[in-house]
Amino acid sequence: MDDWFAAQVERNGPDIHAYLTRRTTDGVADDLLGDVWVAAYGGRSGFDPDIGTPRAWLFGVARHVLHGYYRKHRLRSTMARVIGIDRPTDETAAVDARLDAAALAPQLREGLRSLPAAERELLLLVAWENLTPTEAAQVLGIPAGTARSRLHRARQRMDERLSGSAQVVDETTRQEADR
Amino acid sequence: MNDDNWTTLQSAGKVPPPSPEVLAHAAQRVEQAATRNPRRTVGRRVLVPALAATATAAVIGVVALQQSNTPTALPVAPSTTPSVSTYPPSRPLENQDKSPLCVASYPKELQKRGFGFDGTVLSAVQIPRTAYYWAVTFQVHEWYRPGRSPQQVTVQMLGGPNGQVQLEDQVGYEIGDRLLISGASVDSRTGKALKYPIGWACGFSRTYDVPTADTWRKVFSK
Repeated sequence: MDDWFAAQVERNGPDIHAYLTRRTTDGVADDLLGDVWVAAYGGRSGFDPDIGTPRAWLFGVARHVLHGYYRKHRLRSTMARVIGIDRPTDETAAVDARLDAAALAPQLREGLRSLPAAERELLLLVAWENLTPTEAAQVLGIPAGTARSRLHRARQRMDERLSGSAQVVDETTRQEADR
Repeated sequence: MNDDNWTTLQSAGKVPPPSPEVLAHAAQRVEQAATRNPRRTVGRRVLVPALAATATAAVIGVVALQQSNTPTALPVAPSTTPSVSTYPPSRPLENQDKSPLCVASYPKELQKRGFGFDGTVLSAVQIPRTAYYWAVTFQVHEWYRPGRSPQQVTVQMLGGPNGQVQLEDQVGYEIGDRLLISGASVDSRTGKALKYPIGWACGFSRTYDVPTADTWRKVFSK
């Protein structure tokens, strides 16, 4: 392993592991981290510093590995359900479980769940992984401008959702006070 | 989203940092990969087409076998009846028998399974378009449920024989092994009879031994 790659492993290990942990259950992230390094090492010649940062590139590899894991997992789970085993079959389910476990305000949780998948993934890359919109765009393989407008739309939708909920709460409170 | 909601969302994503052992283990894997195959990218150019061609041929072969639709069309191993009169203690075919993911517990809920038999593995073929499922044909020595059934049966099972195992938690079996298999003959989601019964994991499919076979006989006769 060359010095440059070893430095990336050391620098980004905890963040990539956190990304995988947030999107899986049952300690799967521990195994997937090794898969990410092996995949990244094999494809390191494809990293172009002119296009983006090593960190964003590694998140992109991690996302690819994660999707591969769930693809494999879904095949297994389709039949596994029939034979008596049940597991979350995609990262959305794992993220939902995390949001439930975090006892997030119900409006916020529902707002996130109602977002289109692409917007939600982008929002969580920025909020949870502390990626810039440009880095998140690199992870998702979309133009930076698209990512920025998608992120803006996601936050707007969340605002609408949350202010709608707030109005309902205010109205309920007012009605209760009137009684 | 206002700052409060943004902060709440961020805090919902907080996870504990990985242990140094986890990080070291992952780094070690890439070290091993680098040592094992330092010129991997060059090798892959030659290997990938060759592997693709081999895989295509294998898939075509398996599909042809599956399309013939009869258990006798599956490759049949030489008839091997175990010559030993004693067997090691029965063990589950996979390590998930104690998993909280199992929806039924063995042996408590063995009696509820739709079928159960004692049989020897004649052949096993991976089912096309599935990563882990195999059509396994047995020479049946004794049916525990239902009472009267054919002497040979093909069952869908999780994982293939040793050496072709795809699951990390699979103990596995060999062609010629004598096994105790129980599971479902009806799809629990649709209520329809399955073309091939499914041998359940979670301890409901296991290696044969005499005391366990006696127990199964008693349980299924209730």
